[in-house]
Amino acid sequence: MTLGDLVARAATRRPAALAVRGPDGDLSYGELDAHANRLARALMSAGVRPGDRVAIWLPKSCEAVVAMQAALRIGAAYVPVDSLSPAPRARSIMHDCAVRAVVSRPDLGRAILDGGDGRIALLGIDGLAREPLASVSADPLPAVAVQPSDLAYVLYTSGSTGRPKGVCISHSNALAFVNWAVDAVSATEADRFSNHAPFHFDLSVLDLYAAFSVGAAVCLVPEGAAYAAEQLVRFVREERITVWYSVPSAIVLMMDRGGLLSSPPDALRALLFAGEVFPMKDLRRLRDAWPTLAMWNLYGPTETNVCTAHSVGRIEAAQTSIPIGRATCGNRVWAKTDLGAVARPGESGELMVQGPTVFAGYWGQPPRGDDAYGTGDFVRVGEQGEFQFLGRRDAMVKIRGHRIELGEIEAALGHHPSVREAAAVVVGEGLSARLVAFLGTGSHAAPALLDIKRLCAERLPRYMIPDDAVSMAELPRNRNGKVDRSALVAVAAPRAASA
Amino acid sequence: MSDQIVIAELREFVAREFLHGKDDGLDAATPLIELGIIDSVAIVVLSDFVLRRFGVTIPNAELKPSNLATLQTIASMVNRLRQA
Repeated sequence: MTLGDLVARAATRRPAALAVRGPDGDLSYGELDAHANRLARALMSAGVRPGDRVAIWLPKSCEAVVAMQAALRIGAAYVPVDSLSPAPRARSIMHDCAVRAVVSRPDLGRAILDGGDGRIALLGIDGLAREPLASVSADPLPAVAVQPSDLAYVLYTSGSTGRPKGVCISHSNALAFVNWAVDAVSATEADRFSNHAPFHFDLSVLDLYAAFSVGAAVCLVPEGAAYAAEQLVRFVREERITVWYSVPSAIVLMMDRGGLLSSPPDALRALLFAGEVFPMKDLRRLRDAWPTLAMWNLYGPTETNVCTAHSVGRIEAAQTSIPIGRATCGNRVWAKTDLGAVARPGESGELMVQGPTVFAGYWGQPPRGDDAYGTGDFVRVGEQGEFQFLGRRDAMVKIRGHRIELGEIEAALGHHPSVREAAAVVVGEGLSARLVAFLGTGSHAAPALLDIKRLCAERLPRYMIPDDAVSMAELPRNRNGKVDRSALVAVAAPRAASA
Repeated sequence: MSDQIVIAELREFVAREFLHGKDDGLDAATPLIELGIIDSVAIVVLSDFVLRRFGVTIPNAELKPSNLATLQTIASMVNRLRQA
């Protein structure tokens, strides 16, 4: 079974059932299947072969879903790229994993390939019913032998050295997660999944493929509405969403500004969240308003998708946090102490994962085989063996679920001619989190904020572009001679609060 | 209201709200989304401002990159919606 087979199977069983609803319309399973075959043929004509990578640079839409399916059907791996990122950033990802083709809008696609070496084919599409797809056959393709260990997709994530890091996920990695998710929420064909996360964020894997696995519908939240509280709540009610999955920030927004709790949408039966800590006071409010709603705290880096989960029951008055829970998807999960032993209840250590959802490797590095993956997250082991998240020890932070290696931002900032040294800090949390860049410029003039943003936009994902930049002759240092980051956070905090 | 006036008001708002007043180099053609000046959270703040200042509600279908990309495109959209 592959990710492409899920749709093909549902198309055989329920061709007329709704598969995807997007800003560009609805697709039934039969239509999704047919369009995927058409686009797959077009990709093959453009030279894509099994094992190749296909970049997808499209706004969130049914078209993007078709493009992902098309790549899978010819045994290629798809690489979703944020369609709002500037061309140099998209190019660096596409070159890093040597994509064979990019599926995009004709004008956008030309912009990214402009000045390129002509080795990347552009499939410019603008509407599934129009050329170049309209005249291509929708018949099933001759079978392509896809192994479960073949790559399904590559997701780019932040790396500490400044180079993009492609996490390679196989069909069997993805299916081990999808099968667990379907079972955990008891998904059926009557469900209606939301899709809030962008396709380059792995939360979207549950939304799409859990739905496809059971022949349910997935409704895409349009990009512009992602943090529009009232629109989101209206979307959940009107689309009769049964399973919602997103970062906590979006849920808290719906509670605070969207009226989610004033009358809980009656179709919603499961609320899943991941990517950041859910603030306890808000979780408590949610549970009080909705005592019987199934709520799941899911945890896992892109490298493992979800590796632990906790079903949120009653919240005790004295409770200050919820666990990240226990191992999922058949993975073996443990905490490794400083001495390298397996932590026992009451002890803490780095969370380690080994098993079916652990990624195949980073693009360009040797395959990992069955090696355990160290998440870099520190956890405590509870009395019953459940894991409690403590924090990280390195310079990786998260903003609204997005992983950010501060070193990657600092490497980008260092490219500015006036910047001798740079330090990036995060101030605030959740919806008010801000990224502030501190620049040690010596005797050079302070760079303009827009110049700094432009510099970063060419090298970094949009969510890693600093919100503000503060220049000083020298960055403050602590007794060890290292940059004193807490002093910088203290400087940044009042500025961010007044913004 | 001419595009120029709307652009000037938007520019002042964007500079104050999203750039901490550091608006050197901000003009009608600066790519706001690409540079991370407007992200998915900021879109909501901007829509609020447009409603309060110009009396225009931006429908969901218009909240797309082609309309929000620059001060010029936002101003054109606002004026188009005002006339509708």
